[in-house]
Amino acid sequence: MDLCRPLVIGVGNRHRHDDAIGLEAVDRVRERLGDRVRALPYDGESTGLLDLWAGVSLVVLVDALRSHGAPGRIHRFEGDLAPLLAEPATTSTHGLSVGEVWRLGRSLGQVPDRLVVLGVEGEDFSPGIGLSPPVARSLGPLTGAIVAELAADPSLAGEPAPRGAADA
Amino acid sequence: MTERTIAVDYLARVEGEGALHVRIHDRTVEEVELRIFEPPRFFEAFLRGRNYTEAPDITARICGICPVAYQMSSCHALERALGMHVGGTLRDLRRLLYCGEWIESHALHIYLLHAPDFLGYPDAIRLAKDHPDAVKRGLALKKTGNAIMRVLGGREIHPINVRVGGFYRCPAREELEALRVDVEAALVLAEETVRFVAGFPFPAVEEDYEFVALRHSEEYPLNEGRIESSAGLSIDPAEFDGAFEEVHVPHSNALHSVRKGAGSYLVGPMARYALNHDRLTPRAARVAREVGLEPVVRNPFRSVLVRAVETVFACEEALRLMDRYRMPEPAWVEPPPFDHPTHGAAATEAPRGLLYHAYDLDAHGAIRSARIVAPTSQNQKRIEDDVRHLVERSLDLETPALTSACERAIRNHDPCISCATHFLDLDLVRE
Repeated sequence: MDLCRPLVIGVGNRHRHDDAIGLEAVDRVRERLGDRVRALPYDGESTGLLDLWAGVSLVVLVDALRSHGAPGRIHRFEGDLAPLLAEPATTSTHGLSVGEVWRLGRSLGQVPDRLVVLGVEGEDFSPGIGLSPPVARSLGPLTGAIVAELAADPSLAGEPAPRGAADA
Repeated sequence: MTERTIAVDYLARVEGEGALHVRIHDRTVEEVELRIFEPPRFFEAFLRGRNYTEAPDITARICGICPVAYQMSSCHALERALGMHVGGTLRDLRRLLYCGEWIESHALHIYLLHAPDFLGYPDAIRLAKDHPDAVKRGLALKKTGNAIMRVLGGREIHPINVRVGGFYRCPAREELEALRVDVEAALVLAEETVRFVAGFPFPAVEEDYEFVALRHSEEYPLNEGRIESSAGLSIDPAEFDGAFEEVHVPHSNALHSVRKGAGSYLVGPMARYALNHDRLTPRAARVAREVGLEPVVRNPFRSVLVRAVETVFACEEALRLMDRYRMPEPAWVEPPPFDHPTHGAAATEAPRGLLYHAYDLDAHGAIRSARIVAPTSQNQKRIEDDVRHLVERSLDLETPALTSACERAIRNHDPCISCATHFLDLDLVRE
């Protein structure tokens, strides 16, 4: 497998309710696209992302976030990740935040060519299993958004068109 | 009358959530409270009624940085309850897994959490801009520690391959051999880390600690040994409750541990090294001598140097254990059948210090009670003492500088608040 091919990374912790959204999204992408795309659940320590994404043409990273907006709302960030750096560290269940690891990676020259972050507004980050209803409802549109990001990437030109780019 | 308050509402670069409150009245430090407010996690209550075999996996969830420590202390305590002993290659593998955790945890603390304090940066990201090679070295070390944990533990966070009696599956010799090149490289990186850290500017401070750590007859301690102290204590871990007690304090969700009749004490790298420097592996001992590390370190700011020496030890020990590895068969010692209630207690050396577990089991193997005493809760009172002394020495500092100095004093001990709660915002009041 070409390690430079686009990569979907779902970050989270299945035991912290809505923090699992990134992992659930990776499961959905795998179901829909099978081996045609690399999609990795990531519940490891956050600096490990540097090795996963360095040199990759496109990384679509999916994570839960909290910005006091409507739960389930999907935010898209590319290029300017400054809003992610404002997230309070106390919300993170995996050490450095994604925004902080991105900044660390830039200092070290260990970043992908393009990073798109899809963040889903979470409601419940308490210990426990299962997404809150509004975040669970976002899973379909979120999966569609991931597939659309991949479909638009020139490196996948010529691939069979992903089915159901939006099944919301 | 002047009152001054130092308040850190969220302590940065420590594991977990906590705060510090300091109140100064007419140049007298009246209150120092390290507030641990991450909600108590009731792990000891979760364990009640569960079969003893579940304890290593449940307790591993207490901490994402040191899950192996929880697995090891629970296994040893339960094995003592069951009257069984795990030796030979399985013992070596446990020690190797622990080396992985020490390398990973120490590298994280030295480079990402602590080095910015000494080199004048607010965080590791700004540090990485000016010192990218240093941060890369730290990340490479950490990666190797994680790799050891992944191969032996099944995954790097909350490993799933440890069981009472040994492992669910032991790695093939080839799997360890595949790690060898990285561990050899990590040993060199760890020695470079000692030299790098030895160049940090260390404030000239000495504290009068009672050090408490395991001491083993032959090895630098990880899994086994007697609990000893610099004041002459020497007990079997089963006698922990006779020598130490936990006290609830209103400002913290963690219990404070004290030595009965003696007050605060310190566990962790400084304590281990003070009591066990004669047990270091050859290259760790040599590099400690090379940088002039005194046999007993009483300057808390130099704890980072001890941590670096321990990282050399962990790499060297990992290589030694890998060299003599032959895949054991079976992967675990079968626990004996149950027919009566029993009790067992043990302590192992988590990266942050002594971790004590004790369990009462009923005649069917269900856990009737569990007790877990984490390193940070043992160090909490001693950290408050360090902060008190620092503030007393530094009363003329402006509040922002004093606040920053207090945070540094806390980070010296690498507190893991997640573990302790079962913790930091700083609140400084000057009256």
